[in-house]
Amino acid sequence: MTDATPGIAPATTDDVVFSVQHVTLRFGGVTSLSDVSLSLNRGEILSIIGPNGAGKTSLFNCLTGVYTPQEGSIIFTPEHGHAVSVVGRKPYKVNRLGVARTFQTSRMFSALTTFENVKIGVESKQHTGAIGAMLRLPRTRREEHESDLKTLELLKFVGLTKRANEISSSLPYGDRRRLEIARALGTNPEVLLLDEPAAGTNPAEKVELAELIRNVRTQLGVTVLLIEHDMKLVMSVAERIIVLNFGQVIAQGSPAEIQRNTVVINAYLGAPDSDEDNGTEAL
Amino acid sequence: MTPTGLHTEARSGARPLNEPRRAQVSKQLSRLMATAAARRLGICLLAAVILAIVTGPPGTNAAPTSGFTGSLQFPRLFWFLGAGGVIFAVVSISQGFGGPTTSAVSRVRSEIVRVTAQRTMRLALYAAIVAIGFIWVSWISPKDTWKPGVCIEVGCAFAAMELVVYLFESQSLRIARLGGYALLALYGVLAWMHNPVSKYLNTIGAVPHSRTLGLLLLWLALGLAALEGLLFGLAFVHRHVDTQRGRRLFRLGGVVLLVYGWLMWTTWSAWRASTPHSVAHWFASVHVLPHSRTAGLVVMAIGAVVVVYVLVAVAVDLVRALSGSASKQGNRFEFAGITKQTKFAYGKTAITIAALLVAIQWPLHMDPGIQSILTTQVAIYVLLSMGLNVVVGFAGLLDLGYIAFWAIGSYTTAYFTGALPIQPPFILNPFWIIPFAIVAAMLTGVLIGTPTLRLRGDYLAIVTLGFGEIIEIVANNLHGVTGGPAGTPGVIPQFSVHLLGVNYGWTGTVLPYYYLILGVAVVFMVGFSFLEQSRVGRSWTAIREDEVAADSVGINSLKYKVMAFAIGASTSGFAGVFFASQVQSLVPNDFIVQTSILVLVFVIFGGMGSIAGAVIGASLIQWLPQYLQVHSFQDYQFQDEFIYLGALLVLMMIFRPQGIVPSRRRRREILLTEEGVGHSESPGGPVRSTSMGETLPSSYGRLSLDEPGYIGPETE
Repeated sequence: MTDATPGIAPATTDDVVFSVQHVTLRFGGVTSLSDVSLSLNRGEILSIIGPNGAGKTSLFNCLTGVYTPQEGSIIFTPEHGHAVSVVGRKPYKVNRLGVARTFQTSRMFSALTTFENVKIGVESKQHTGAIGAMLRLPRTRREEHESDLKTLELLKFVGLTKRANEISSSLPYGDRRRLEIARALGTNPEVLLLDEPAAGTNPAEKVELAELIRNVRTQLGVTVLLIEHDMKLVMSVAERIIVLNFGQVIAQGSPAEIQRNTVVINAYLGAPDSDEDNGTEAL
Repeated sequence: MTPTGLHTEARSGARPLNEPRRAQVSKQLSRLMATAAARRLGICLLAAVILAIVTGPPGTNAAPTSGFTGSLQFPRLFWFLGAGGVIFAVVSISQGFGGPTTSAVSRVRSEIVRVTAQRTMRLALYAAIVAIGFIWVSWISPKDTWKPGVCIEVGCAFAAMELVVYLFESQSLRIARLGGYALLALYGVLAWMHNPVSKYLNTIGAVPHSRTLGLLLLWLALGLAALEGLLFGLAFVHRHVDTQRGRRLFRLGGVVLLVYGWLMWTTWSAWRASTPHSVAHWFASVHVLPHSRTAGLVVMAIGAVVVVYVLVAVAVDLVRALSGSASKQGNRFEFAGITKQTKFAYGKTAITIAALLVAIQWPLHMDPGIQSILTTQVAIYVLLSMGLNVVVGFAGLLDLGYIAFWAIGSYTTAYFTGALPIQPPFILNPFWIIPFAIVAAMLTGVLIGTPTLRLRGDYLAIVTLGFGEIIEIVANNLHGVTGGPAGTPGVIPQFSVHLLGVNYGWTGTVLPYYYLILGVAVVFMVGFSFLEQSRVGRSWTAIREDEVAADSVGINSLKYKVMAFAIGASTSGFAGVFFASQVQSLVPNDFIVQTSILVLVFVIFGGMGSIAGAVIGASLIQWLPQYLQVHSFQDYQFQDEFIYLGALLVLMMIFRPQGIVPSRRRRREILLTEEGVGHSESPGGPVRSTSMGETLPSSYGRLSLDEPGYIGPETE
């Protein structure tokens, strides 16, 4: 661990939240992930980097149940409870286990307000059914009130309080990202998977975002798994970095170690005889 | 060289010279065709031609095409094309104003300022009135040759009025316009009265001699003047009066309108019942009031809206003021300086209550025939379309076999009342069958829904379509159970209550039924609107808009889809009980697929996802053809209904795709889709673009994972 986030105790390595073992994902003849093994420790901020097409988002989709890998195992261990396999579980069930995510392209419910967007996340674990909702039973009203308060808290947490009643599609790009984070946090997760949260944001917003990601961990105690191309953000936030290339883990370690790793530099800048030209920023 | 060609070359100087001129012209033309205005014009003209053909004379057996050619003959086609052009102009101008986005008040204000544009619009409107009047007149009585001339003269009267407005508008627009209305009124009076002046004018052909026409013009002029006064008053109130006094004035105006409407209405009734001693009749005899029931109803409804609006506003204010301490507690949503949007919609509530009053009051004054239509053809369909609105509007599932659940509800009723060839274990009053029918329809809904709702939109539509057909065919062919095409052998009894000493039967007139269904419909409206604003409703919106994102926040989309399907089905089954015990005998023909489509049309026409829209769509579309039929309009056939509905839907999709009274969310979705931002497609549910690759719908990714031909999204 380097000096990336001073004041935070490094996570104990034996408390693993996500354990990915030998995962292989193929689409027809194309192998997207081949024999990927990694582990996510409780309470850390782990970043996955790699050139375009390295399989980062595929890995996310495997972790959240969108894709089912052909080989390997993915075990999620909640803080209280038994370890469960994510493989073959439906995305909404994986979310109920305590895994929330954001998307590479922002996917808000664009006809709803910011408030309603976050509220959908908050109330997804409530129990009001159709009949209770139609009759406005006491429990329905109580749950509505609870979720209202929680939503407002989350909006304050991500700094969208002023925009609560705006239509989400009218938000600027940076705010959409934060809205998605708030919506994901609304489901009360133990692990938050962020898929390129800084894409399309300006430098000032990136600084705020880094702050927000650190707060998610320190204030809410949520483990963060981050995919990002912006190396400045990754190096400032992440405690550990895993590098993927062509569906394989090629390196892992602290940010300082990764910056010096020749395999990684070759993957990004291209080996002397290769013409790969992706992701050259800030390395 | 044509002028067009010159124009083209002058514009496109940068283009290579060797390009043939014809190509340039065609390019120019195609660019012109691509503009919105050109497209709109094309649509309007096409619609006019279609309308001309549709309303044309029928063909005979000897010459089947005579209807077609007859309807496209020169003067007729000319008028229709003219009407199309007028509609085009009106739409273009209204869109030039900024369309529906500006609020009504600011539009009123800006219209007062923009005199020229307003005059153009008014002229177009007059032309449209004249043209439509002509078409209507020539349609219902094609033999009278004098009517086209009258229409032209009415047009001239409008033109004269506009001329007065134009000449004097530099001094005072409002006075000038009133002068114009006075002129129009004078023209009407001249046409109506018998005196030497009008006789002379008639002989020289300046004014027609027609009582109806004269009265019509007179009332039109008075109405325009009244409207003018109303607009003026509104603007005045808005500017000078504080809200409290304004509200009082508003209320006063409402009461006046209400009384006036009531008088008008009673006049009509009195006239018909020949009770010459009533006050209203006296008013009518001195021509202070027209004797028209419809006009009276409309004015009364407007007055009722105003009065109820103010009353609701006052009541809510009163409650707030009384519970001063509670209001602080009421602001519990205030958090960190913001409040959740919990505004009370006065206007919406007022309109709803007023509409309810009209719905309660109106049928009392109708003929038994119309009452029966309102019950069996309108009220039950309102229930149906509210149920389908949950499926199509809220959850975004395209259900084409919706009527099957209605059939199930109806046949359940028939079964338990012992009207079917097979006998039930116990015979029940229709009232106690309601839970059985709901459960039967809901179970079927869940059974059909659970496997098919995993499919994407289009497949679901086909499966439900098939299901609807199956139910109808089963009802037709299972003679031993349903009685076959001849219908149920027994008679289904009507509703009755025998409980705790209360004995009441819904027999005799149809009105008690009407009120029963009305009550049920109101309960459903309230329940569904709660539902829409709840967690369940929001989850439906989330699934409709982006199923992958909904999955990612832990929403079980299949569960919610099945839930919507079951709610829709049970509403339908519920309506089936009412239908069965009202018509008392079922025929499989009642449950054909067209009825499903019809109910879908109501929902789309009214505005998907909007409860008020579903109600309005069903009432309008169901009531109008029945009304036309009762009033035996020439050439109107029931079978034609779908032609008109089709045309109506096409026009709706072009000009107002969100429906008449769209829901807020749905309107936003459609606007976003038009801008290419959102994901929402038609009711079939969202169709994902996979340009960014990473998030295909879950089922899609899983289904195609092992297919050899599938190229994974991560390969770029």
